[in-house]
Formats: sequence, structure tokens, C-alpha cells
Amino acid sequence: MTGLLKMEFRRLFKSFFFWAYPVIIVVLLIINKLSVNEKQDEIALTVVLELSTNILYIAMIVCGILMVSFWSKEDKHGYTKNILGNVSGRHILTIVKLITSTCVMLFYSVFNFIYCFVSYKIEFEKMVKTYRVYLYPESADLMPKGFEDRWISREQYDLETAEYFNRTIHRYLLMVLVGLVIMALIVLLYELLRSATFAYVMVILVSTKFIENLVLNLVALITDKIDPVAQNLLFTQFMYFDEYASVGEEMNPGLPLWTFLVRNIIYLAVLATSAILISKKKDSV
Amino acid sequence: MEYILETENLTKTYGKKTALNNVSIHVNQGDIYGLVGRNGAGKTTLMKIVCGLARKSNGGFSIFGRKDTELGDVAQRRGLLIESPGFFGEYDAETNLKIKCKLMGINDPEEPKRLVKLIGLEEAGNKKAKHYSLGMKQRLGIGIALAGNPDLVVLDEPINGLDPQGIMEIRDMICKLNKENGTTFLISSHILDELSKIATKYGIINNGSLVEESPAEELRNKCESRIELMTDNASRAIGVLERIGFSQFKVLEDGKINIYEQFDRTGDITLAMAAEGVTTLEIVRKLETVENYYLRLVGKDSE
Repeated sequence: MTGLLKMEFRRLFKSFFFWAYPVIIVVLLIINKLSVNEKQDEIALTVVLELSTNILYIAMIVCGILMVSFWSKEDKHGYTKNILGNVSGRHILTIVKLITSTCVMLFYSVFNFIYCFVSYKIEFEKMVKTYRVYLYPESADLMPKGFEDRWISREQYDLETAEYFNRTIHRYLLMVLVGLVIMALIVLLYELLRSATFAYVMVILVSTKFIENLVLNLVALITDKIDPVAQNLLFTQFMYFDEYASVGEEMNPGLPLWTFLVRNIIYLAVLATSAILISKKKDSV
Repeated sequence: MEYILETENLTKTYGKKTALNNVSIHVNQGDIYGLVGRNGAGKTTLMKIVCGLARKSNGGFSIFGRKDTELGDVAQRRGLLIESPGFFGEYDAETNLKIKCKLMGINDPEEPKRLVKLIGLEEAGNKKAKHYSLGMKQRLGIGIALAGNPDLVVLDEPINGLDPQGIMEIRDMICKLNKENGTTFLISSHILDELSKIATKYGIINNGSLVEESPAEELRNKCESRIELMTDNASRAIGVLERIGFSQFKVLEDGKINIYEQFDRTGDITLAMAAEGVTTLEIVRKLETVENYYLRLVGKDSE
């Protein structure tokens, strides 16, 4: 399996498509750095925070398409036969697929992280230095009339912003975990049908929340409630991540972080195991 | 006796169709095992199963003494070329071989170059494999199968698309690897004439069943080759034949004698008969090829 992993990574690194996404991210980062000026700081920060999780949808689509094209190329060119002749079963190839797609997803997430949070951190510190005095003066007396009760100390302000930043990072890391679950789902679907076209379509439909919206609408149509299903879906679960989030017309108390972790790790394990078992049950080519 | 590859009542069904039916083959270390059968007989299915490309429905097989369910690292000791050669068209031969070497855990940079030379593709240079001729692609497929010096090489119709010179080169290469490295080959081919030049053991498959398995020598003996001798005195001719060392012959009703051994001694027979005063009216050497034997066998089986 080590040899197979080395071979797959060598092929990945030699592929132009693999590097396209990181290169685009780096170029975007450079452009952002060059174009941002102080007056735009607040807007830039909002955009960056919005982007922090949204950009992962793009990474999932790019990573999914890259991996499916990579696998289908092996199948199309008959190279899978060469591989399978030297391993003890197709399930080894499936394990390697799971490992490589996980690594690629994590690799892209690192670039996304640098793009979103490093730039956020730099911009944020710059903003704090420039505007903090005006936004949160030394005492409540210096606040505009009628806004005195909104005053918080600088220490409190720093604490709150740090907490917000941490929560955003947690949200981002959870989203990376969801990305890994989606990669495992794509491996499973590919092993199930061995159809690149089907896998491409599924990558797009899953990563753009189309399937989830379909499920939610169906559930709403049948039961008139979405809560029991919504909090277990890959993307909709984030509606329950914030402390008080609105789901439909109701306000829901946020769920603790560990519930998200456990749920997604279970999904990942079930999907990966299913993919391995299916590849064991079916003919290899 | 421990075989390098052994199948035991191997069966494969696709729905209601039985592609392989209780096939048991035995490949010894150093064999060049020729798998013979018409299209759709089950040769490729058998090869696919022993190479891990298809699942068996029943029975089992073992490679290097390890059962199919516990192959582990042993799988790395087999190389294969099944149906069409598998390679990446956008790379040249050396890069394709480098990739395969990586898979086999070989880091020696000279190994892909040695394989390129072995399969005679040095002149292709940096040409992308997708632009190769059919024969070149076939050679590359064989090269990929040979990467990592496997002990068992499974080749499905390896000389497909090769020109006569290419066929000869591949044949020589197989013989060389077999003699020098002791590599065992399992080869299927519908060009029996070519296969008979190298095979040391045959397995004949028809309609998914193994019709016969025998060493090449035994099979050649089974071929109904004979010398047909017609003389003016059959009883005296028998005595002459026995004197010059023939024992396997049969006298037919019309006085014709069929001799089943030493087919290259027609000259000796003629001279001996003349020396003993027996007139040779007709002497014909009729050699049945493995191909004819196969057709006779499969024909019989089909009936």
C-alpha cells in the first residue's frame, strides 16, 4: 500500500489540475493584499469572514472533481488493472482513494485557511489599532448620548472578539471535517457505480447543498418539521452551531461542539467502511 | 507438490451464465503455461480471477502457496497484462515505467531505463504513449507487467498486434526471462503455433471447463503424428523396424504400417528396408500440430 500511495501522490503532484486551486488562492491573496486600503478594512473583514466557510464549498467541488477525474483516468487507461495485480484486493485501492482525497482536501483547506484567517488576523489587528479608540473609548462617559449602556471595556472587547474569532475557526475546522465526509461519500458513490459522470454530477449536487435542500423540502412536505433531520445534515447542521440560531421561524439553542464532531466522525467512518466493503464485494474491474 | 499457482474448482458465474466451471490448473515454478481456448472460453476470466481483477463465485486458488483470501504481500510478486495494456497515454514509456516502479516500491532510477531497453522502446524517446503503434503499446504493457521482476507473469494474448519481428522478440524475451530468472509465465494466445514454440505446459479450456492439462511433451505425444509406411511385405517390414529400434507402430488391414515415434527417421527406415530387400512403396510423415490436436479435442468436446 505504501508503494501505491507513493505512486498516487507522485501522479497527483505531476498533475496541473492539482496545483491550479492553490495557485489561484495564492494569487487572490496577493491581489487582496495589494488592493486593501484602510478605509475598506471593515468591509474586507466581513467579506473574509463570510468567505471563510463559503470558500470550502468551492474547495470541495474542486477537490471532488480532481479526484474523480484522477480515478476515472486510471480506470479508463486500464492502469487500475496494473495496480490491482499487485495488491491483495480492490479494497486497498479504495483505502488509498480515501487517504489521497483526504490529504488533498486537507491541503486545499490549509490554503483556504491561510487565505481567510491569516489575512483576517492581519487586517483585524490593523483595524483594532486604528479604530478601537473611537469605537470603544476608555470610559462609558465618552460614549455618544443614549449609547452609554453599550460600552464595554477594551479587555472585554478583546475577549469577545477573540471568542468570535475562535468560534469562526471552529466552524471552519468543522467544515473541513464535513469536506472529508463528502470526499468519503464520493469514494463510496464511485465504488458503487464506477461511473465518472455520475460522480461528477454528485460532487456538484452534494457540495452545492442541492441534495440537502431536496431532502429538507421533502421532509417539510411530509412532516411539516425539519428540525430532527436538519440538525443531522452535513451543511444544515451549522444552523445549530451558533449559540442561538434561527431555524425556520424558531430560535434554537446552539448544540455543543462535541456533538458535531461525533456526528461527522460517525458519518466519515460509516461512509469509508461502506466504500471499502463494497469494493470487496464487487469485481475489481 | 507445491505449485506456484494452483486453482481448485474455480467457478465464476455472471448471473445465470457460467464463465468458469470447476477449473483446476496447476502451474509449477519455471513453467511457461499456455492457456488455450477459443474466444469466450474463459481464459481471460480465469486470468482476471488469479490476478485479483475479478471475484470468484466458488472454489479457490493459491499463489506461492498462499490462499487467495490471504495473499498479502505475495500479490506484489505477480505481473500482468490482461486484455489491453494499461498505461497513461500522456506520458512516455519511461515515465509510465517509473510510475509502475514507484508502485512496486523500486526507487532505483536505472530500473525504468533497463525495462525500456528490455522491451525495445528506447527509440521511442519522449514520444507520448498515446501516439504509439499497437505493437509499441503492447510492448509497453509487457514492460509494465515485468516491472519489479515478478516471479509470476500473467500475459493475456501478449503478441496481439505485433509484427513477426516483434513476436519473435517477445518470444525470445519470455524464454530469456524464464531461463535466466526462472520467471513463471501464464500465457493465453489464440496463435497456438506461436505458443507451442515456448509453452512447457498446456491447459485447454472450452466453454468454461478445463478439457485437458498436460506438459508440452505429453501433449506432443498425444498429437496423432505418425509415419505411414507402405511396403511390398508388411511382415518382413515389421522385423526390420524392430531391428532398427522402433517399437510403437501398428499394422493396418491394408498392410499399411503406422509408426508413432522417431518421426525424423524416415531416411533410416527407407535405407534399412532397402538393405533387407523390402521395397518401400510409400513413406509419408504426418505430423499433427498442437493446434490440430486442440481443434480435434475441442471439436470432440463440443459434440
